[in-house]
Amino acid sequence: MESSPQNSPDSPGSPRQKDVNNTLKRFSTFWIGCILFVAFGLASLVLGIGFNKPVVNNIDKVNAKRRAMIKRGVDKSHAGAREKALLSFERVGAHFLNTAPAPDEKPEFVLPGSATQKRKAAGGSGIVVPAGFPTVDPDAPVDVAVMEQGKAMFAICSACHGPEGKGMYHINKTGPPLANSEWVTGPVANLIAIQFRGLSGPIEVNGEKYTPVAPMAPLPLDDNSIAAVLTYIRNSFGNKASPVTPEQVEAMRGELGKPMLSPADLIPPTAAASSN
Amino acid sequence: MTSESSTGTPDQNDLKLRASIDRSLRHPVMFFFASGAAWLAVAIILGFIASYKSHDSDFLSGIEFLNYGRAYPAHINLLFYGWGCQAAFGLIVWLLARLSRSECRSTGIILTAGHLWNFGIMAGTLSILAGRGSGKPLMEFPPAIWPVLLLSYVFITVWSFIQVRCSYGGKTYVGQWYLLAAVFWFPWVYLTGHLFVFVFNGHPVMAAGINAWYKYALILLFFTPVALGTAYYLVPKITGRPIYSYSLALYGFWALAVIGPWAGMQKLAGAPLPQFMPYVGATATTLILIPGIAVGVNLLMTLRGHQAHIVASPSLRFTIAGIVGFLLLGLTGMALNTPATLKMTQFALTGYGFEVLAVCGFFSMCAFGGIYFIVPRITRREWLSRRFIGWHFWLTTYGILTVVVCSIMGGLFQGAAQEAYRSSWSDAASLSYAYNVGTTVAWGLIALGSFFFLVHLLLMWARLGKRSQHPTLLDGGHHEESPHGPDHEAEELQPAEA
Repeated sequence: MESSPQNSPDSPGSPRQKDVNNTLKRFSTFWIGCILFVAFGLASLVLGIGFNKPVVNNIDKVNAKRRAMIKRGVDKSHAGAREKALLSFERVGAHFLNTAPAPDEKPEFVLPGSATQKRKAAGGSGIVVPAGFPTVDPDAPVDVAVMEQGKAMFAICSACHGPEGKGMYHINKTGPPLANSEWVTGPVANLIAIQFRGLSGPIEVNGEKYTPVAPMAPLPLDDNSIAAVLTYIRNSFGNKASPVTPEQVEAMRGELGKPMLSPADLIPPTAAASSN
Repeated sequence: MTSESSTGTPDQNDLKLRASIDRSLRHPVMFFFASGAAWLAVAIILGFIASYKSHDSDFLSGIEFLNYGRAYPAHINLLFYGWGCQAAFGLIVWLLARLSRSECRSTGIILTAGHLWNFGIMAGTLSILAGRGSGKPLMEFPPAIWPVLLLSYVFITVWSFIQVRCSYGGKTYVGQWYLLAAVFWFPWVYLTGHLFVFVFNGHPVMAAGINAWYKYALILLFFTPVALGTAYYLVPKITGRPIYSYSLALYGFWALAVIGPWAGMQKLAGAPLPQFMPYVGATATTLILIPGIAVGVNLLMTLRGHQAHIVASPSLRFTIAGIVGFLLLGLTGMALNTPATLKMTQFALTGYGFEVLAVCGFFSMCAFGGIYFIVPRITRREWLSRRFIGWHFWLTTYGILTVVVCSIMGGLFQGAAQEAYRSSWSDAASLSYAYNVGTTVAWGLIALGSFFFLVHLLLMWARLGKRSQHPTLLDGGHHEESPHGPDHEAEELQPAEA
């Protein structure tokens, strides 16, 4: 740090000045400098190439590519799949229909106490009207109190058959009309059996065919209620028929627990008109 | 230092050599200083905007490219690369040429590389403001920029290495160690940081760790040695005395070289990294006070009995402010990296305060000292106005001090409120509110000071400085012997070319 202004090493021709002008040394120093600048980086790059597998840096981009690939594959395999599926449903469905076993009703296969056994014991699915079924005079007077009770009960029925008894079929394909229905004014045994067993399937009422979307569920109330509501529908909406008595309902109790009725099981109304 | 610090009559060859070195470097060095000062002004304005937005989110809210997420990174990047690096290049190129006593023979290449550097900074900053930044702290320039900057760095500084190696005169100055170390440490830090963050497919958490390391390495292994090299050149030069203790200087240098590279990862304390990494970083940052004390004691002892110089010489005044900044940096590093405080600094403003202290309070002050010393020599004109210099000094000093105190104190309150998990998170914002306002005001002060500096420097660049043999001194007195250094003989030796 001490000063030495004399003997300046910068005089021309001094060894130092020669070094300053040494082109070779300047050139080699340039490259030494450049290499030293990047030496560590170069070393890391070499190590990096050795140890660094090309790992995904941009996950989003790669995932987007992958997603596009998967979507292409799905689209490809979906092309024409609907037609294929429909075709196979048709074939498989037909196959199942053709090979479906017929319902086997061999006596040894019927469980004791089951609905099938009861039906077989009762002699089929039809309505069994017991002997001594009470009859009522078609012109017998209708009790106003019974009608009022029946009207109250009818609130349940009106959900499908409409408050006016015109049915809801034209609105939502549920209940067929009760008004001017030959079934309603027909045999009382039919109506009581329907209360106990329900009714399903297409039915023709007053010359018109109805195919309700849902069956009528069995609604086994007590004798008085069933008698009242049936009396009510038989004597409302322009209908006129004999009232239904609790005794009649009680006589039909044997129908309870049997399988649901279809219109074919019912007693034809024309025949019943006289038999009632 | 050696022949340059002699108070006797320097011999004629010596004067000629100095004049020719200064002449050969006039354009590149002035280019670096002037463009650095211009970027500094932009960085400060962006810092003002970012700080304003931190307490008033409606400020300039309609301008998309100035939102906080863009203005803040642009501010920090311009502070480091636009101003800091370019000031450092000017200092390195001039000081190493003077210390190795040889002219620059690559002026054109340095100037071209300097333009390339500025082009890179411009492109990077515009990218950040356009929302295309990379989002990695201090590496926000798009990944295409860093190789360009590295390339231009090589062509700016490699000539200084050639000068040092090819003109070794048997003596090595303290300033030379630091500057040459900085020349080699910058590409190491810069290349390593960018390779491991942008090129290698390491674990992302580790990349974040390297990113945190990079910021501290850039401060401690580039800005610090450049500033200390400048200080070790200026103090003996201006006072005309040798360094107080050569061995203490050596000790300080190696302490920095050994401790510096470990610092930085404390930013990730609590992150899923091996736990020794952040704590080694915290320890190293704590130990930065050791080179700080070595340098501080050495330079202040060199100045003992020369207080008049500090008052009078703008270069010395800035340099001493910078050395005090370095001591404060060491103390702050110690205070902020204890286990008790470390957890409060993770998501708070304290880190920003530390960076501003390092880059503005320490490095920039030393760089200003160097610039006030170098520019009159390369333009062969004296500074126009001591008022401008005085305003620059006081506004900058008080401004930076306020930013640092506000950021660190506000950050500690903020961090403590964040740690208090039973109280509302909004406490963290409300507790640091006043400090944020203080930071904004202080950036305004710094902007004003920087404006004086920029205007003054541009006037000097336009060679409108005073044609005087007396340096512009701050105390206004008449000095028998120039306290600004005894080498204004260039003027006598060689009349100015207009």
